[in-house]
Amino acid sequence: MKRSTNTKLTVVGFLAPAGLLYGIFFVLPMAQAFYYSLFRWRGLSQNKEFIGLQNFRDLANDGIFWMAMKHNLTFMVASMLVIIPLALFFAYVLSRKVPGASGYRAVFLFPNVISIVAVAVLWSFAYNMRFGLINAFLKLVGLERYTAGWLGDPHTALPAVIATSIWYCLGFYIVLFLAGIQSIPTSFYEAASLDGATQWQSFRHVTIPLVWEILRLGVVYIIIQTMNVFGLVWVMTEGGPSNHTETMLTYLYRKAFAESQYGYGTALGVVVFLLVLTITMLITRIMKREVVEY
Amino acid sequence: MSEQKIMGNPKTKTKPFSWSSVPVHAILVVYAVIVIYPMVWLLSNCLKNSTEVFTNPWMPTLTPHWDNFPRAWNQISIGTCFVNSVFVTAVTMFFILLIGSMAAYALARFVFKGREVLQTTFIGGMMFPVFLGIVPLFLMLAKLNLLDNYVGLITVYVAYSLPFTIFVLTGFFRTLPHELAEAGMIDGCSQFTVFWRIMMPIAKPGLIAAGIFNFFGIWNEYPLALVIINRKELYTLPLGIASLVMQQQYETDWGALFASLVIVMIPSLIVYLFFQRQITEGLTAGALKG
Repeated sequence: MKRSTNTKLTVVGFLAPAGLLYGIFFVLPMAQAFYYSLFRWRGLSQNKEFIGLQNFRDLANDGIFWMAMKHNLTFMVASMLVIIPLALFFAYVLSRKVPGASGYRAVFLFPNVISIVAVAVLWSFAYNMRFGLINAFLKLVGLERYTAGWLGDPHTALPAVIATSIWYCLGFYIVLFLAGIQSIPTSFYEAASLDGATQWQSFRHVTIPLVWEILRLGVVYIIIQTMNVFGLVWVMTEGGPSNHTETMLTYLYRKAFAESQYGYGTALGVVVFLLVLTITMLITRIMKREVVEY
Repeated sequence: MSEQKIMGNPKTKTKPFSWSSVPVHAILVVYAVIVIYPMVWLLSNCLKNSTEVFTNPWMPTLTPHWDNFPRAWNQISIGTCFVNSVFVTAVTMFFILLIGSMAAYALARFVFKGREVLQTTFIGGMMFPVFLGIVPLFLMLAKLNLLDNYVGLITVYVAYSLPFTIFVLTGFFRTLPHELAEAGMIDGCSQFTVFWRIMMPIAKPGLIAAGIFNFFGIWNEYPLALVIINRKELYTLPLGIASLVMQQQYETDWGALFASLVIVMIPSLIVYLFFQRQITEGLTAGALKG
């Protein structure tokens, strides 16, 4: 009896600090978001007015919001098309006995540990029209006519930001897929090669099916990451030039914290959350396959 | 996991990789250059003066301006930001590891009503993006007078790091032998003494793993700091470095800007070099188990 009350007290005592902090500063704001999105609330005053779904209707008629969403979707699709094949290729190569494999892995992963803000700053220097690395390189190889003011030009700004994002995170996906490939028993490859399979065939028919679950996980990560992109864009372009790199979260930040439209900004956050949830569920369903047990 | 296992067990006779090796190697080298070259460019530029940054994009300078670093540290106040970041990161990590491991220990070791629900609530937090709750959080902090000060920032950092930390540490505490704790209880130690004196020391590898990832998370964190901190003298490094670039309309000391970027990257580089293996494994371990 005494022991059980003692245990109860211990459990409560050990969980209380985490529970309180988490409940107040994490769970509560997330829950409030759904509620606040139903209000018109401007400025720090307490005058909020219940307007039902009006914020969402306004969003549906907000051209900049649609533009931002289009940019996020472009971001997502471009990232998938580049990252998945490249990361799979590098992971497969590094999982075979390539000299210096662990060195390559260390180098490829490095951008991932730098602050995203530092990456954004480094690349906005690299894209600089007058002293940037990119234009200097183009001049060096005689492609001077392709030099541009990358981030200032509406046509090149979004691709330039996307390229930076891929440079930043490709290493993570290489390491992710590499771990998956390495968990495949080597006997599978031996069996395949005894059956006369070529490298491509064993990649296609052994590796891919066995890492399918991790591939799917990688795709989900890309969705979450690209739909929630903020810091990179905000530091590199602030959504400019004239909204040409605006993403849903840079727009949220602008609305909520520059224009103090709290209700509208919150509604935007809810939409982004639901959108990510929907896309993730759709993609995981599309990519569902029989899991190969081994 | 040993280095051996990562790179493939040498005892098994896998054929060396053979997609006509030369192009494959070329691609590896090219991508390594793409990753590294911007850093090399940064290092070469951080010792140039503003004119040279413009006139000499390729070669390292012959007259290194080491004074770019003191100027970056003092005049464009990267030094203040650096000290602020060290303070915020250290305090946050202390509290995350303390509070997080207490909760994780309780969840892993004791059976009680509502444990599953609680654990799901904590760990499920990883699915919710910061921006979903950012406006309500901002309004709440404003009401509590926690905007624009470190109490607010650190409290929020601790709260937002809990899901991941508890996820890692609960898994870890589960693997520890409970007999040790029982023995401590029999010897008459209080529950907290058992936790602090017996369990924490053997949980060190788990704490290090959680600590490394929280270090990068906090040291590099940007959006929450952007929303919570306003006063320049409280800027953390990401805020400081971002504001330098975003307000570069006035005449800019480019050499010092490049130097400050180097200052920002050095701590991450050092931690990465020291803990490379743990980072590489930890990055995917959670994903693969989950």
